Amino acid sequence: MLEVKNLVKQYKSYRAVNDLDMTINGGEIVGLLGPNGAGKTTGLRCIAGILRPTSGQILINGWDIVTDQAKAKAGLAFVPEVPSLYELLTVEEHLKFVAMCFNTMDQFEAKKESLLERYNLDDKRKDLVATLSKGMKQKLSVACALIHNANVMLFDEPLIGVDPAGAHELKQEILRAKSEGAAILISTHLLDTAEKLCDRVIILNRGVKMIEGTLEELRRFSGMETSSLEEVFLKLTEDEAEAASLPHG
Amino acid sequence: MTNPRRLIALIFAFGWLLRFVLFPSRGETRAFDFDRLNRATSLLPNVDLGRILDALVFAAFAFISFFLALGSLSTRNSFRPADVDVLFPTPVEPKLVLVFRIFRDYLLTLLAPLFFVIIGYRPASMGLRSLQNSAADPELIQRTVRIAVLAWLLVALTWVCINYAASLFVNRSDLASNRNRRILGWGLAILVAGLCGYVAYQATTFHTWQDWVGLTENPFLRVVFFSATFAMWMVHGVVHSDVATILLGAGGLLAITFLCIKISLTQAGWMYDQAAVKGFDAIDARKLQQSGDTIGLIAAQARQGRVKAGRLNWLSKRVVRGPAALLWKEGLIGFRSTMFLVVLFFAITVFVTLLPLLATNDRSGAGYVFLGFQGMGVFMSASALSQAGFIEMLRRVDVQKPLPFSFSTTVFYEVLAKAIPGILSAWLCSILGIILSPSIWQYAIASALAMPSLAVLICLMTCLTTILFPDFEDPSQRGFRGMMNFVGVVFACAPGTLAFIALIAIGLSPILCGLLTLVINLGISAAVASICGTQYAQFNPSE
Repeated sequence: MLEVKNLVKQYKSYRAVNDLDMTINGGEIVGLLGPNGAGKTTGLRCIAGILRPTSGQILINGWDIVTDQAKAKAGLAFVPEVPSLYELLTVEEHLKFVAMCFNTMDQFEAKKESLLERYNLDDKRKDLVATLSKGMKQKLSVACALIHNANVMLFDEPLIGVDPAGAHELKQEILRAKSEGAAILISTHLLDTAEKLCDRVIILNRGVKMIEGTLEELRRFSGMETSSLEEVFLKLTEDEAEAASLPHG
Repeated sequence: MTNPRRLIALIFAFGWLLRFVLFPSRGETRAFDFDRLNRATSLLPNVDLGRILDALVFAAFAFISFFLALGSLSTRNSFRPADVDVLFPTPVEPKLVLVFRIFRDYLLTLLAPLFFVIIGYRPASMGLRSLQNSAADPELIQRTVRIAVLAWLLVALTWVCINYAASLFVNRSDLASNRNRRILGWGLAILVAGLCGYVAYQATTFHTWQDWVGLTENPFLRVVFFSATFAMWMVHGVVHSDVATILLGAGGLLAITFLCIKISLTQAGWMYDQAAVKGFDAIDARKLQQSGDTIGLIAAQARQGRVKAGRLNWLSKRVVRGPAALLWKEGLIGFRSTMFLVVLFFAITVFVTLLPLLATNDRSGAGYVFLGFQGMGVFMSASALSQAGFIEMLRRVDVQKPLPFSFSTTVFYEVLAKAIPGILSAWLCSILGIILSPSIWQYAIASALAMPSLAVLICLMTCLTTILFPDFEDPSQRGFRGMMNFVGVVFACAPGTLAFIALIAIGLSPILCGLLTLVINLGISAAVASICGTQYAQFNPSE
């Protein structure tokens, strides 16, 4: 469903993402982990079509994000780290705008009511987005991603700024989307969340994929058989040189 | 004081003010023509120069007071976020900070008339000098000017203190202050409206200049403009050598000043609270205004609860599909943000285009005038309205770029949405032009054909320059972008416009000329749109 081949994103002399490969199949959740500045957000923004890759290929449902933008993005949902919403639309209008763009108005009313209720946005539906708190905006951003029938979902730090109830609901939503066959890529710093949600994780450091695998594979690789993902992550990122010398995947 | 240049500027500024107080009449001299003055005043029976001087002084200080009083109920906005995080937690006494702020604002207020002082010092000084040379009591003129400047210093201080006291009192975050603010706000609005109505009504009964002088002696006005009254008493006292009146005027201003400082100091505890809650909203708003970001400005007002969603059901209930949703979105945002500007430019375009047709019966050349004004109106509305929209477009790349459209489709619909007001005003003007002056029908149709393409082209150029110079917070880039936008618009519109003029000159039908201009403009638009699409695709907000 989502295939990334040799993705490179370069800003002048700085290579933010270097030769990134990944494949995410339907019904799979992959966590993108890494320290600050590792290239997670840049990678995600390239996949979402916000940034144009310097080289490499990104295929969404078989469509190239650069050459077949419209078809590729038709099945894509992206939730940015900082909610970027039209502040002078109401909550309801924003959801409708996204649904109209994706041409999914047939199921709009039912989906909208369900999302507004689940994310406690019901009483805010007529309010301008500008008046929402940061957490509310994040919920709306997620709701916009779920309002259309995306089968590739990208989440950039989706739980930051969301209250515990909202975070719980979002996790359930991600698992629901997975059960419906969506391919999901989550960039996060919350390692315990990644541990609970993700089938596989990819650890990036300085734009390079250090390692990819299930938690069990990572444990085995790091020689920490009974450790948590947090401990494994810290070990691997601290011991970057050693990890970088190992084959990816 | 953050740098030496500011210090030098401040010293220079206060030097000018000080010089005016100490040497009000220094400069070249020329004998004052008292004969001429006498001849002029002889035309006015029973002239009382003292009364006229009082009236002029009162009017001048009333005018100044009016402007100093503006915004007295709004939050003092001189704090910055760093003040809240760094200054406020320190043990510095809020009262001390407040006194410093009052003093700083007072100095800034004194700078306000500097421009007029610089421009007017030399001629005013020469006039005073010649008056002094010719007057019976030269010292009196010197003293009068000095006391007038002193009155200005006191009036400015009084209003700075009044503004602080009122602002701190009505902007506290408690319910009573909300109520007080509403009562005071409405009270002042009614007072100003009543005052304007009263003056307007009185003016209808005036026949001579003495009636106007009499108006300045009206007790109601004297009470409302109390600071002007006190200032006038100070000047009046000097002219009539009446020390008690001078002291009464100065004492009145000082008494109000001390009272307001006392009220401000009792409210000092609320100052940090107010600054932290909404103190820098105004700073943000000013930045947004300077960058021409109307949508950001309205969004900031919406965050403060000052803008509501409004009743736009007729639009928000509509369903469109695909990229047309971008037009729908732009319509809703436009109605909530730039509606006032749209209506204003729409009205200006219609007015300037149709006025020549209404103003004269001479129809020779009316078609050319119509087209000229029409083009000007479309240029104004398209360039002024589109900038804010493109800033918003770039700010929302995270939501807009993942939409299922190619970048060129997104750019096309965004540009079209911004050009719609210009297109509609062109068509409306054409229809009205034909109704008002049927003989120009060919020009009106030519305009209906060519002007929409002109609006699209202008919006496209604005889009391109906004993408190329996207840092709207950087003043130097903002200025450069404005210049490049203007140059770009001129170059892009020149071929179509010049072709139209040339073809008209060789006697081709205006409709055909309009059609050819449309084709040329669309061709250039396609080329610019292609560049815009590429640039938008490469646009990275993080860079």
